[in-house]
Amino acid sequence: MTDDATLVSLVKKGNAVAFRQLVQLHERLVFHMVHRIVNQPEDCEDICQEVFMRVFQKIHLFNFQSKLSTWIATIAYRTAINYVRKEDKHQTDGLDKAAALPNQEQSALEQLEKKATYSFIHEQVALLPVHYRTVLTLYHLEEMSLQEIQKVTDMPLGTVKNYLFRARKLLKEKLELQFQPERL
Amino acid sequence: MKDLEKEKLWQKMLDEGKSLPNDGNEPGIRAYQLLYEALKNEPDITIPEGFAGKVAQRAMTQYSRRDNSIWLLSFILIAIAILGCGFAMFSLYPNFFQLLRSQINILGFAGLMFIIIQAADYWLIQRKKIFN
Repeated sequence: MTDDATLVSLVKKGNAVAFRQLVQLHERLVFHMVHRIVNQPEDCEDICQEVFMRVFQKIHLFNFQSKLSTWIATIAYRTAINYVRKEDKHQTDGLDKAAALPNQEQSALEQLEKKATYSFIHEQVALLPVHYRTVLTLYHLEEMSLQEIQKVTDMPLGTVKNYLFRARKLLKEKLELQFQPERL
Repeated sequence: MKDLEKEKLWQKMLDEGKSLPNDGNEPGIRAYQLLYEALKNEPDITIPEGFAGKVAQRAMTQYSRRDNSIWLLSFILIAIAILGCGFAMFSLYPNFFQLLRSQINILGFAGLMFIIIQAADYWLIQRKKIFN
């Protein structure tokens, strides 16, 4: 496998194979981020393509001051956020939305299944405000440090910590509401 | 301990990979454990087949187009420079074009070689660099 430095230098020279490899290495990260921020699966592929096109156009500006994945995540974050703004799908009212979630009628047995619990949580994550979803995805799914999330989102460290705490607290409350405590 | 502080402590412990106390009276503990497990679990997202290849092809098309624009711009600049030089030489030496005409075979050969070398460079070296 080619290391980041070699890969980037080949992509800068316009090497198609190297760029394809770069996309393959980071497509999961970009899809997760875009999917969580945009919340519209039908637009996801186009936005992800746009992200990688920007990566290709701006690769000459990348100078290894951060990890390649952090830099790509930053581009994915900005592209997705811009898309959400353009489409006027701001989720600033997400907190209220999350608070007003309807109770799903599932049988007790189904509720017990881990898979159901996971999908319930993923559904709830999708209803959170966009910044909450972003920090949760980067922290838990992509295993980024708080400092890396700060770089990607350009939010102060305190805000990142606060969003992370509040998002998890909200989800935990939803989980407690949905599933009876004794079943948890 | 206040609820908020308690929750902060639980989250901190889970972030650090520590296990939470097994307290049956605290349903919040089990909820947090489940939540952390679920958040690590990848949501069902299908990456379209051949996505990387498709993006790479699109990027390369753009790259070649940019390359062609650079070629065109270079050609225009060189043409302007040659015309400028020709005009300046003609103003200084009125016999300049007669001299050029007498050397037309050598000039034609040099021009042809230049074009052949540039074309060979593009088709044999530059294109290989892009697609390999």
